[in-house]
Amino acid sequence: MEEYVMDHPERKYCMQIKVKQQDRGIIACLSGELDHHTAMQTRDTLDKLISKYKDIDLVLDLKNLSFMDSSGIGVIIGRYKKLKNSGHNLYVTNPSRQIDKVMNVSGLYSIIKKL
Amino acid sequence: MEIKNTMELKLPSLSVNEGFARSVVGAFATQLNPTLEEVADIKTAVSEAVTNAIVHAYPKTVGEIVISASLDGQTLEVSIADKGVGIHDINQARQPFFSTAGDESRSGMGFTVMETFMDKLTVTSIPGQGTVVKMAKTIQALG
Repeated sequence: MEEYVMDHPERKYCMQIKVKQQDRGIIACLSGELDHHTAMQTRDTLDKLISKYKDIDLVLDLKNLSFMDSSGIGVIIGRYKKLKNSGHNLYVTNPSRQIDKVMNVSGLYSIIKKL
Repeated sequence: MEIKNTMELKLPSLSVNEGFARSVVGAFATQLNPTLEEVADIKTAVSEAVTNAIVHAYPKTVGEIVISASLDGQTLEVSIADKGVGIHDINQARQPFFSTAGDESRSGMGFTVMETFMDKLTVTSIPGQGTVVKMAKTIQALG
């Protein structure tokens, strides 16, 4: 399993992304808090994964993501579009009740499937 | 005479403060004995308002954000004020998926999330002078 620890100067609170490879795709396990402060790093790390493992579906495992606001919605929709353009899918799994509510309000589940 | 409990927090508009700001207001609200879900609602709404101030009020500079909160009975009132560029068309800004941010770091859902997660939301803004977002949420007494 690969592990990406996103580094930023403040290191006050950072996002960690661990990657598991499976038959049809990869699972990226996000832990920490996904807000505007961590959005850019999360986006860049996920984009690196998408370019590294070509021809894959991506599952975002949110089990250890303790907080997400609408900045996270921007990150998820952006990655969804990127994968869709190359004929692949993005899924989310294990969102907390708070994250589920943000996803529902944003209408995210009308385009992205929750596993 | 009952004295209302209040708090005020002044921060520079640095994104690293987003987590701190929402945690402070969430912690202040715990005096009302809220459920975990209610605390999460408050933290999410505050995060959206503070992020808007950081991204939109001070797009090229760092300015001051003042977060104040008060408790009135079982109701939390919170205000997020900046002295930034202001909003020209508040109705347009409050529309779902509307965003002036060029990158995809904002989804245009900030005000929609605030409206959904809190009971009350008012936005006042003067272009060139700043914006005040006021929100309120009543915590249901348990039992």
